[in-house]
Amino acid sequence: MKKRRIAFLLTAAAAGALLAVGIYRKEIGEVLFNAAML
Amino acid sequence: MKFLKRRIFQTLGTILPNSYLQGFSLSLAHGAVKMTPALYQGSLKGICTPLLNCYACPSALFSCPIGTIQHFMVTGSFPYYGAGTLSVIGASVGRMTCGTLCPFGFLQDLLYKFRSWKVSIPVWTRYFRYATLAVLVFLVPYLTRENWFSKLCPAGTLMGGLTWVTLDLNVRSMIRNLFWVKIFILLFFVTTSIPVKRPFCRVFCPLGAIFSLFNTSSFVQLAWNPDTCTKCGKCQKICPVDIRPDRNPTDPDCVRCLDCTRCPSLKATTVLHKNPFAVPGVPARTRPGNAPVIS
Repeated sequence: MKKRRIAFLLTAAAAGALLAVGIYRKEIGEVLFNAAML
Repeated sequence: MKFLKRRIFQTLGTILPNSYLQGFSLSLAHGAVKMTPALYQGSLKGICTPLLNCYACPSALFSCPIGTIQHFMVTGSFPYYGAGTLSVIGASVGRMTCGTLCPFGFLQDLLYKFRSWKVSIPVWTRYFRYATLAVLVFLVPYLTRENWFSKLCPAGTLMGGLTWVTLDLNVRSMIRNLFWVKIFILLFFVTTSIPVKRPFCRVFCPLGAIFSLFNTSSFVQLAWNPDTCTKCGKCQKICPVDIRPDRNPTDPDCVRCLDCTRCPSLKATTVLHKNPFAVPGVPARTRPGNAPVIS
C-alpha cells in the first residue's frame, strides 16, 4: 500500500510537470490553432 | 441505482462536450431553409477532453486529446500539454472517464444491450491498443505528417465525418475512397459491439491505452475483500469490459465504472485508505491472511 502511495505521488508529480511544461510553452495557443484549422 | 447514475453521467458526457448548438445554424437559401454547419473556435477549444469526442463535430466545445497529440507529432514536437492533461486525469482517476463519460463507450454499452449471441475476446487482444497508440498516434503522424488515427477514428466518423457529409454539400462533393474505409471501420465496431463488450475500447482505443497505464497508480482505486468474496463471478457478468475485478482490481482493462461495487466485496477507495473494508470502532484482525487487500 505504501508502494502504491509513492507510485501515485511520483505519477502525479510527473503528470503535473508535463502539463506545466505544456502551459509554459504556450501549447494551448497551438491547440486552438489546430482546432480552428480543421 | 449505481448503474442508473453511470447512465446519467454517460448521457451528460455525451451532451455537455457537444452543446455548441450554434454550430448548426439555419439559413435561408433559394427559398428553402438550409442548415449550415460551422465549428466552434472559442477559448474552450484550448482544453482537451478526457473523452473520445471528435472536435471536428460542429457542436464540439472542446478539443480531442488524441487529435491534439497527433497534431504535435505532425509538427515534430512532443505534445507536453496533451500528454500532461491526460496524465493528470489518469493519475487522478485512472480509466474512470472511459467508463463514466466517454460517448463512444456509452454507444458500445447500449449496443451490447441488444439481444444476440455473446462472445468473449481473448485477453491478449488488449495489446493492440498500445500498438495503435504507438503506431497510429505517435510514429506514423511523425513520419508522414498526417493525422492517421483521426482519419480512421470511428468516433470521428460518427460525430464529425457523417455530420459534415450530411449537412454540407461541398464536403459531400469531396468524398473519396478513404471515406468509405472510415464508414467500414465504424460499421465494423458498431456491429461487433452487439456480441462483444466494448470491442473498440478494449482492443483499439489509444486514449484508453494511455489511461490504462495509470490504473495501478491512480488516486482512485478499486479495493477487493478476499474475506467476503465467494468467487461467484457475477462481477464479470456485469463488467462492461468483461474482466474479473476480484482477480486483479487494477486490471489495465478496468474502466472504473464501479458497476462491480454493487458486490460488497468490491469497493471504490483511494490510495490514502489503508484498510477500506474496516468497520469503524472494530479493531482490524492481525492475521495477515485475513487482512483486506487492495491490489
